[in-house]
Amino acid sequence: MTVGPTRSTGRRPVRVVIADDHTLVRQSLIKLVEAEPGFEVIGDVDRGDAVVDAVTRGVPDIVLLDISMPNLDGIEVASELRRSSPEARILFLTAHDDDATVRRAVGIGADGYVSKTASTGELLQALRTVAAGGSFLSPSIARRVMEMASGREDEPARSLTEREMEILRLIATGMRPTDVAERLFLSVKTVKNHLTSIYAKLGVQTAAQAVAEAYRLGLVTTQQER
Amino acid sequence: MSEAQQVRRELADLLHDRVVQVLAHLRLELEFVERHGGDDVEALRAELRRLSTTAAGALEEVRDAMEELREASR
Repeated sequence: MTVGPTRSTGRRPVRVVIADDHTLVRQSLIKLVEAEPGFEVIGDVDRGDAVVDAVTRGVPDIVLLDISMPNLDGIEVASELRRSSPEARILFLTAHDDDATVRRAVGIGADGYVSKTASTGELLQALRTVAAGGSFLSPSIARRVMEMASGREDEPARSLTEREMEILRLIATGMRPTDVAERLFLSVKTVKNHLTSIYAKLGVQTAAQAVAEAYRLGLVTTQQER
Repeated sequence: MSEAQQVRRELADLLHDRVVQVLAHLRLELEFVERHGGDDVEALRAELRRLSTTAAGALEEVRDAMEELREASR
């Protein structure tokens, strides 16, 4: 199928660099952006550590940036771009919408954050908004950010004691209550009492659910676990 | 990391690295056809065949992963 983009006349097209290590998605994005009037793809890369070079060479208006990439993740890339190419606008496109990732991405000061589950229409709206100097958040992400801002998502985290947080983090590394007890010089019964309290505060019934909830709330991260 | 956590991690990686990516690709491609498909029926058929093959490959991977999970839970 051949589809030629219709360029807007009289104005320079918005120049886009696309960074995504998933080849199928990257190819679809290139095709989609190229077909959109007023947009031009000037480069695409499949590794985080290649983005800064592509941006320095191509001087794009927008970098459409996947977060999960080999060698350097998208958030680290964005942080570097903020220093090396502050004029480039950054639009995250990602399958990651857990609180910890959203918090890191928002903290970088990106210009937009659009979910990989978004429709073509939403993605193009994000590109147009960011190109025009605005900010864009997918509705699902915006809801998370508002919850964070209002402090609602932090309520369970705030009510956990320091000892409970310590135990939760150890459980998230795969330790059993007996291992945790040994590590912290506590009795197994004491650890189990703490766990009962943790489950109640997080509104869960099992250790696996507690760990999942801890990740969702950003109380533990993959980096901490490894 | 316990065996159960390892299995969950592998499942999360599979969902992120394959399932979400292939579904995102298929959605973008199908919406592209809807927007820019044109009148060339043969070209449209060829495109749909290509997307169907991609979907079949992803289904196969998900089926293999489900089998592995069943094995691991025995």
